Amino acid sequence: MKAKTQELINHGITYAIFTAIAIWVVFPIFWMVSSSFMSQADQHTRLPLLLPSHISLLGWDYLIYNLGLLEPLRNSIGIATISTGVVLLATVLSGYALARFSFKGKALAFNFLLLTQFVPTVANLITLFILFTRYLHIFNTWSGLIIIYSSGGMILGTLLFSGFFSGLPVNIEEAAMIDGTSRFGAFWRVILPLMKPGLITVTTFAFIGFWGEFQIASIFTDSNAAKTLPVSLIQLLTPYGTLNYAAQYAIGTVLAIPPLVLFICFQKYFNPSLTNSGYKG
Amino acid sequence: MFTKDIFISQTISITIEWVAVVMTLNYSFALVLALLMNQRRLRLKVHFRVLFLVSFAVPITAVWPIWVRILTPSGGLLNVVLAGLDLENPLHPIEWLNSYPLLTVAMVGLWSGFAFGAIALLAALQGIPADQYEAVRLDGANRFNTFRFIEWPHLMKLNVILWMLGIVAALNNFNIIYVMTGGGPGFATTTLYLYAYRELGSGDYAYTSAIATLLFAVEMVVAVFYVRYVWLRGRK
Repeated sequence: MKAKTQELINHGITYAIFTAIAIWVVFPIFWMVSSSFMSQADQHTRLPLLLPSHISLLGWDYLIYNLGLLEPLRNSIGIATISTGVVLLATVLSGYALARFSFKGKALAFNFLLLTQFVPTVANLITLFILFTRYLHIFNTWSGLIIIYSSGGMILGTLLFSGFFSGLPVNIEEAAMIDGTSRFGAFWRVILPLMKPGLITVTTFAFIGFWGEFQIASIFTDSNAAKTLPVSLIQLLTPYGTLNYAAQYAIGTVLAIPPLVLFICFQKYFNPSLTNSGYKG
Repeated sequence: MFTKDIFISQTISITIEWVAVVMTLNYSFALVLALLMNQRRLRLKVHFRVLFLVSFAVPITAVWPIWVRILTPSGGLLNVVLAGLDLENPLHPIEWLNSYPLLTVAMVGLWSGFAFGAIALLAALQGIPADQYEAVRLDGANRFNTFRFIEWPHLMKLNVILWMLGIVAALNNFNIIYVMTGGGPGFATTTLYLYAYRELGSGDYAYTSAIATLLFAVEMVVAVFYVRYVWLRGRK
């Protein structure tokens, strides 16, 4: 009986702590959405308002008509989606190769992939910038950002998929191949349907990473032809603060929605033990 | 070139401070949370797990304006709440991003990153067989000893990976520092990474490359340990 009471108290304290953390986690996002509907007057009350005194669409209007937000939005969606597609297509195959085939230099390839995760982006920016502006002429284009994003995503994608494939028993494909299908047939019809968690994990991580990326996009774009939303958001800021707070929060809200939807739909597949090492277990 | 630069030694010490603060905050918070979530018969933990992932999912490049608003010295929500609780004098509001820039930015970083470590550690804790808990319970171990002799040794493998990845992530952190302070005020939050970026903006490509190479060299040391560790673990 005493142990039971003790457990009840422990759980009570735990839930109190959890609730506090949950408020800390969710509140900024809630307030950002709510503030995007506030008028200029509501933004500057002496005591901050949690909800707008009346719904004002000035921030959203400013966004669409004055800033031409729709172009950066289109760029963000296009670039993140295509990059994710490229990563998915390439790494599902490279991950499979790394997990299943034995070839000369495999250990080297694997270690090299692990090492490249550690290269700081800033070390690559200059060479990429010179390459893009002087030789390839893809500065300020979708293709420029897609090339950088998808090649960056290849590393994590390959490691993740190789982890997922190593977790599948080899005899699944062997059975299919004995039944007369080719290796690719086995891969396509037997293995890939079992890869749903892997496909979802890589898609979610790649998309969220590309969607929120700021540093590369800020350097490799200079107009609405390829500028993405995070760049537009920071460019609203002037040295004297921003002119339109509600517009800032409105961009933030637009940026927050897709990652939230993806994560909430797929959170049961989220398993960091695989993400960490690129190795099973 | 480093010898002629009066800022580089300051930048290096800020980098070390930043890595130490971020690692301590993020790891200890994640560990405590994981231990709390690992209690048996805790029914709502699945729902809280989803909630905790919210800040991990949303990119910091989306929510930074609201953090700036919360931390505004006069009329900012945090100071208003603290003044309401009588914890600070409303006439002398705390200037979070000016007086304690590194710690404040690290707290925002904690907000956006704690869930990853917490859920990784929770997954590892759940892998401990129940009979091990039973064994120490029969030996009369208290909560601390259970942690000391069962849970901590079991977490060690993951810890090494989390620490190494955490150090490199802190060294490479750009987004959180850049959006919150831009490396300022002055040089107060300019880590090596931000410093290289700042030099890039000033057009000194050679010096940017030199700083980036220094950073790269430090990270390669961690990376070689990491690869060796993962590799040896995979061979076992």
